[in-house]
Amino acid sequence: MTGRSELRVHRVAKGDSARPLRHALASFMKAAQVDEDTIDDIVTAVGEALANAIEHAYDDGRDGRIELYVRLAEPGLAEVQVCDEGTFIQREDRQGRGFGLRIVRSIARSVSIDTSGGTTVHMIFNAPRTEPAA
Amino acid sequence: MNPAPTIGVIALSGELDLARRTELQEVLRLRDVHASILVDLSAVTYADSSILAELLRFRADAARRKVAVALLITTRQLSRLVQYAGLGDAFAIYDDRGAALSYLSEAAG
Amino acid sequence: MRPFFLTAVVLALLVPTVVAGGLFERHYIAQAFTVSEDLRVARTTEFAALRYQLDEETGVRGFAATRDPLFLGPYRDARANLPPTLDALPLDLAKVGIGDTPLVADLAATNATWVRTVAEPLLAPRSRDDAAIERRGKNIVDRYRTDIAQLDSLLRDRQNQVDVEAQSAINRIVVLMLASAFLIVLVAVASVLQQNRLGARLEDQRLRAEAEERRNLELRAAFDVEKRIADTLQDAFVQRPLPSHPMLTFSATYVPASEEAKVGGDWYDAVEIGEQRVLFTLGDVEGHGIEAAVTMNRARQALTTAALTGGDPAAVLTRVNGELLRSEARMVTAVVGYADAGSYEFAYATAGHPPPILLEPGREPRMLACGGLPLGVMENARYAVERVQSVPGALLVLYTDGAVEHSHDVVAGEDVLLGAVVTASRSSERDIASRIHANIFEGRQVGDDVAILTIGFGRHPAAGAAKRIA
Repeated sequence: MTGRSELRVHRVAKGDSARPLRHALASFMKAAQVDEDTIDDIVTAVGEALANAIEHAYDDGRDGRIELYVRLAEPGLAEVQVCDEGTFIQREDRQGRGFGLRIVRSIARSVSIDTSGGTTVHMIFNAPRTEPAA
Repeated sequence: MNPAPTIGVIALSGELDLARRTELQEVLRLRDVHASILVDLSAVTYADSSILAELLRFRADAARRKVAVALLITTRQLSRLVQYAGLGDAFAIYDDRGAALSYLSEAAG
Repeated sequence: MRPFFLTAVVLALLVPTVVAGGLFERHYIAQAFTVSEDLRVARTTEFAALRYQLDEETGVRGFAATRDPLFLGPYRDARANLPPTLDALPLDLAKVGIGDTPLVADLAATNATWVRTVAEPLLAPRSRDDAAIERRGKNIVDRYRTDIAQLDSLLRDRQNQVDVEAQSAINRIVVLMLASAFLIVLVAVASVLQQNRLGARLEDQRLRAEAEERRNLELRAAFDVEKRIADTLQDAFVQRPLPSHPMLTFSATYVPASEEAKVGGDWYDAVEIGEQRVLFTLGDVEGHGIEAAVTMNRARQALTTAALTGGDPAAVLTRVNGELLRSEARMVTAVVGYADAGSYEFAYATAGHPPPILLEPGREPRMLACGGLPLGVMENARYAVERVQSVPGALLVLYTDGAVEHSHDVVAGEDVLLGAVVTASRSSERDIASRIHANIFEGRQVGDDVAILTIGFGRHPAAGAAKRIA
C-alpha cells in the first residue's frame, strides 16, 4: 500500500536527535516506494540540514525545537523542510561548515534558506518512485 | 592478508553524525609511529560532513609527519557523500582493502 | 687677455716717446746750461771791461787832481788789461749769439779816444785846460758806460731768453712726464677695470657654469635615485617567487598600464606560513608611477608583516588601515587571506576590493563576498572575514580592477573575466593567470595596471585510484 504523502516530526534539539529524524525520513520514503539510492541521497542531504539545525539550536544556548517536514508530490518530487527556532548565527570557527551546504546543493534540485523567525531550510528533491509491488 | 607492521589501521563503524563527533576526534589521531595508516570506513552505515572535516584534519596532521593515509570506503552512502562534498580527489580512497594496503606499503617505503 | 695686450701696446708706444722726448729736452736743457755759462763768462768780461775803464778813469782823475803817482798804478794796470779784455769780449759774445754787435768796436774806439784825448793830456807834465779836458772826458766816459750798459742789457736779454727756453724745455719735460704718467695711470686703471669686468664676467660665467653643472648632477642623481628605486622595486617585485607547494598551485601576472612604468601601484604576494597554509595578498594603490609604487611597497610590507604576526584577515586589514592612515596619502584596495591546503579552506577579507572568484569542479564560477572600505580612508573602518570551504580542483582567482574596468561597463567587464577564468582553467596551461589576462585583453586595450593571482587547490596524488562507487 502507498504510504502517507506527508511527514511531520519534531524533536527537542539534542546531539542525538538527528538520528531518529533520519530514520523516520528513511522509513517514510521507503514506505512511499521511493528508490533506494534516492533515499540514501535524500537522507544524506537532510542529515546535513538536521546537523546544521541542531548546532544552531545549541549555539543559542537553550533547548530548541527542530521540526522535519516532508511532502511527496506526485511527479516524483520530495519537498523537505528543516526548521529550527534559533537565529542564524555565523559560526566563525567551525570546520566543515561549508561542506554541508555544498552537499545539499549537489543533491537537491533547489535549496533555500529562510531566516525570518528562526531558520528554515527548504529543499526539493527528485524522488522517483519504484513501481509499487502489485 | 596481514598488513605490514608499519601500517596502522583505524576502523570506524555505524552511523557517524554529530552525536559521535567527539569520539571521532579521539579516534582519528596519530598515536603510534606508523609509516602509513589505513582508515577503514567499510563498516560505516551513515556519515555526514563532520567526518569529512575530521578526515581532512587527520590527513593534514599525517602529512606533516610524512605519514601516508588511505581510506577504505565500501558503502554507497559514504562514497556518494565524499563525491557530493567535492572531496573525491582529496584522499587516496580505495574500495578494496588489498589495493589500499599495497598503496600504503608503497607510500611508506 | 685683450686689455693686457692693449696696455702693452700703449706702453710700447708711450715709453719710447717719453724717453725720446726726455732725451731731446735734456739736450736742450744741457745746451741752455752751456749758454748760461757762456753768458756768465761774457758778463764777467763785460764787467771787467767796465771795471778796467773805471780804474783808468779813476787813476787819471786822481793823478790830475793830486799829481800823486800813486794813481798811476791802477791806470797802467787797467791800460794793460783793458785791450785784451775788449779783444776777448767779441769772442765771448759770439759764443752767446751776440756776435755781430758794433758795441764792442765802439767800446774800443771810445776808450781809445778817451785815452788819446783825455787820459794822456791829463797825464802830461803840464796840461793847459784840465777842466775842459775833464769835461770832454766825462762825455767820452759816459758814452763808454752807455755802451757797456747796452751790452749788459743785451747779455741780460740773452740770459732771459736762455732761461725762458730752459724753463720751457723743463716744462715740456714735466708735461710729458705728467701726461705719460696720466696715460699710464689711465691705461692701468682702464685695464684694471677691464680686468675686473672681465674677471667679473668670467667669474659670473664660471658660477653659472658651476650652478648648471650642479643642477645637472642633481638631476642625474635624482634620476639615478628614481631609477634605483624603480629597479629595486621592480627587482623586489620580480624576485618574490610564488610558493611551490605539492597541494597548492600558484600563478600570477602583473601587467602595468604603460611600458616605461615598470612599477606601479598593483601587487600580489603569496607566502607559505606553515606546512599547509599560505598567506596571500593582492592590492591596488591609486595612481601610477614611482609614488604609487612606494605606497604599494609600504602597504604590501605592512600587510605581510601584520599577517605573519597572526590574526585573522579582518584584524590584519584593521591594523594596516591604521598604519596607512598615519603615513600615506593614497588609497589602497586590498584582499588578504589564508589558504589551507590540508582542509581546502580559505579565509579572506577585502578592503574596497573587487570580489574574489571561485571556480570549483562541476560548478559555474562565482564571485565571492566582498566589501569594506579601502585602506587608508577612514579610521576604525570595519572589515569582515569570509570563510569558504572549497574542494580539490578549485581555483581561486584574485585580481585588481584593471581586469574588469577595461570597458566602461563593469558588469560586462565581470562577465568577460568570468568567461576568461573558465576558458583558462580548461586549458592545460600552468600559468593560468597569464592565460586569463590574455583571454581578457585579446583585442582590447589595457587601460590600467592589472595584477592577477590564482591559487589552485590540488588533488591528492593517489586520487582516482579507486573505482567510484556508483
